[in-house]
Amino acid sequence: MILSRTALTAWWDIPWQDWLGVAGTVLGCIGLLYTYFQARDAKTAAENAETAAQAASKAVESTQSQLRANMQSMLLPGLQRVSQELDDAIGRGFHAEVRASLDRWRFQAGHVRGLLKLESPEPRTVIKALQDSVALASIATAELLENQKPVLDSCRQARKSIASACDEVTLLVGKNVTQVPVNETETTQ
Amino acid sequence: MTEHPSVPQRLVALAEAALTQTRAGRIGWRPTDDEDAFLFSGSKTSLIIDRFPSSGYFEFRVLNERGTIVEELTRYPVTVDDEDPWPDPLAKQLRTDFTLLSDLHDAARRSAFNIDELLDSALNDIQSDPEGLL
Repeated sequence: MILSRTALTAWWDIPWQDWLGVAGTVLGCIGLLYTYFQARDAKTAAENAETAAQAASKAVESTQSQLRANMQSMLLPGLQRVSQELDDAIGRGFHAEVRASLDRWRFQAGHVRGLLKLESPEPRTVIKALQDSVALASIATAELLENQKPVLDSCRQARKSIASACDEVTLLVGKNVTQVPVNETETTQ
Repeated sequence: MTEHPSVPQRLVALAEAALTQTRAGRIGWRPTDDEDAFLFSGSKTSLIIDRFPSSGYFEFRVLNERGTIVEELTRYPVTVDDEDPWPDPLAKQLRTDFTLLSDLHDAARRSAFNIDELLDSALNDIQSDPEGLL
C-alpha cells in the first residue's frame, strides 16, 4: 500500500528532505566513480614505479658485473706475472725466490677468489683450480723449507696447478669482459 | 643442552666421509710435491692426507682458502692386545683412527694415480691379446 501511494506522488510533491536523499545518492555515485579512477591511476603509477625499480635494479646489476669484470681483468696480469716470476725463480734455482713467488701467488689468488665469490652462478671450476693451486703452493713451500730436493722437484705440482689456475681465470675473465650487459642488449632491441 | 663433538671427533668424521666418497669414486685426489701426501680441494677448503714413512704415522690436514693449515689430526700406530679382557678404550679408538687414516691414504693414492684404471688396463691387455704384447 505504501509503495503504491509513493508511486502516485508527483515529483513536485516530494518533500525537500527526500530530495536531499536523492542528491546524496547521486553525489555518492560520483564519489565512487572518482575513487575508482583515483585507484586506477594509483595502480598504474605503482606499476610504472615497479617497472622503473626493476629496470634500475637490472642496471645496477649490470654495472656491478661490468665492474667485477674490469676488476678481474686488472688482477689477471698480476696473477700471470707471479706465475712468470715463479718459473724464472725455478729456472735460477733460488729457494728463497721460489718461496716468495709461491707466497705472492697465495696472496694474489686470494684477491681473485674474493671477486669470483660475487659471481652468480659461482664459477666452481675456476674456484677449485685456485684452491688447488694455493694448497699445492703451501705444500711446495713446506717441501722447499724441510727437504733438500732440487727446486723444481719441490714445486713441480704447484707450478702445474698455478699455470692451470691462470688459464682458468684467463678464460673466465675473457668471457666476462666480452659479455654485453643486460640493459645494453635490451636498448638495442 | 646439545654437546658438540670435539674437533678431533669432527676430523675423524670428515676423514670417514672422505674415505667413503673416494671409494665410491665421487671425489678425486691429486698428487702433490710431497710424494707421500695427496690433496683434495673443495670450493673453500682443501684436505691433505700425508704419510710419514720414517715414523710410520699419518696426518690428516684441513687447509683454508689461503692454503694455511687450520686443523690436523695425527695418528701413530698403536698396539692393542685383543686378548686383553679389559682393553684400554682410548688405545682402541686411536688404533681405529690410525686404520681409518691408513685406508684413506691408500684410497687417495689409488685415486691420484688412477691405479685401478691402470690395473684394469693392464689386466685387459694381458687377457685379451697376450701375444700382441711380446
